[in-house]
Amino acid sequence: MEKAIAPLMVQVSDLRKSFGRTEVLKGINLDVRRGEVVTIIGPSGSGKSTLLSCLNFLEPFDHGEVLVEGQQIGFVRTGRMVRRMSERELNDVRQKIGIVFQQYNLFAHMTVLENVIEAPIHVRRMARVQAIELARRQLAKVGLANKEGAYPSELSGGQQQRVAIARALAMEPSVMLFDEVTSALDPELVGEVLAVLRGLARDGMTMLVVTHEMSFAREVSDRVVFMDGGLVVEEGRPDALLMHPRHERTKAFLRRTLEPALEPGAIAEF
Amino acid sequence: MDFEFGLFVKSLPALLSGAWMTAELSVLSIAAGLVIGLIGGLARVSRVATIRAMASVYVTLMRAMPLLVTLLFLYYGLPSAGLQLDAFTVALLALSVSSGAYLTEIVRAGIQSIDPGQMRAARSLGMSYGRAMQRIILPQAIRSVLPPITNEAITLLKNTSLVSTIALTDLLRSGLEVMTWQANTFSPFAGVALFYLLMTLPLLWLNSFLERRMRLR
Repeated sequence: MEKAIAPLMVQVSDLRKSFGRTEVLKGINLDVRRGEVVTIIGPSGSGKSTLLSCLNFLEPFDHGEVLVEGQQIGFVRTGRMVRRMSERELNDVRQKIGIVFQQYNLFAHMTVLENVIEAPIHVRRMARVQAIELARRQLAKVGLANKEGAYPSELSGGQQQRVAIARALAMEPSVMLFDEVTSALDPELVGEVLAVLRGLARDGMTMLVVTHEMSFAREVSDRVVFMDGGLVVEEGRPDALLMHPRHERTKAFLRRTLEPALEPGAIAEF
Repeated sequence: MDFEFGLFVKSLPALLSGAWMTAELSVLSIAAGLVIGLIGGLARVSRVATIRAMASVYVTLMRAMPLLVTLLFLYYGLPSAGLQLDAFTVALLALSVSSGAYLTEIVRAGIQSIDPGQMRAARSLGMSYGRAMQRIILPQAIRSVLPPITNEAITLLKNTSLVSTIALTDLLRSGLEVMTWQANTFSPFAGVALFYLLMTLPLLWLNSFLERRMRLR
């Protein structure tokens, strides 16, 4: 299906979130269609990671609305009444939304296979045999079929991150969120993780990717969103936004990220 | 020195029954203390502020109070409030709530030593808080708390000697009794020390074994 007319998978409207007196998200509006790959870029502290955490309500937001496949997340509106979701409702909706973190966060006391079957067995109530079969498929997809007996501490960062992706995929989510998944990796390990992301994009997974990898943003995503100061400053097709940004803040950010050496003064400082 | 081997041997049966009382009290109260410690530790990291506050008051009170005072208060103080408990129950109660407070802190520290990312990852997969605690956090925390738990067990075992003040014939008390009827201090006390050593040594070994294993990880 043409992505531009595919049904909406994620709808975010006027999302606001404060930590204490600091407003981190100042009214985010963002729609993602089924099968779309949206990359979110922006300086650190711009609220990108917080936005992802709000989408599955790991970080409760203060105001606004998040819909995933048309279903409300975090708050439920019935008529004019708005109430916070119960823990059980949250646990249910979170299964639709896979998230992969910068620090992998694999369960350290479990083997690779145990990491991947844990939630299918204990959350989705799958039979163990089925869960193992599902887990092996996901591990094969990330290229780690031969590592199922290993413990996380025995794996490289890139391998751990790929297991984390397989673990999230085993819940068969409708949308996957990637929160700077290559930022903690040694440069030579970045490629193997990005390759997995590319594969998922090709398979038609709906993805929201917070990243500093501009080449990934350019080559893989359907749309790039630039955030700064808790707001979406501009969004557009990758070539348009990355090559011909309209806003001054986007231009400044891209100048800093893409060509740091060419920035006036950068050389003179040495 | 008035050590007499004959008297030492003659005092052994009495000391043995005292040692049995000490061991019984230790095992029962460390078991009860562990249950309290697990519940208390979970309460200390609860998301509900009232529960956290209650656990914190309990721990502060028990750590501030000398065990001997708790023991005497329960034994002599409670009857005047109309609650008469036998000496063994009082001893068990005092030792359990006291070690329970220390074990609460040990369990809390164990839980908090686990990277918060583990909980985030578990919750993001749709696990409830309770299941994430049970399946992800506690199994990892238990490793780091085993050495301090054995340490607490050793402390508790030695603290049981305080129950000799409330008419329970534990190891220390039986030593004191033997001393009276034999009119000899050194021999029975050598026995008392020996029995304490025999009971604490295995725990000390277990403690250093667990600590060595922790370092190897």
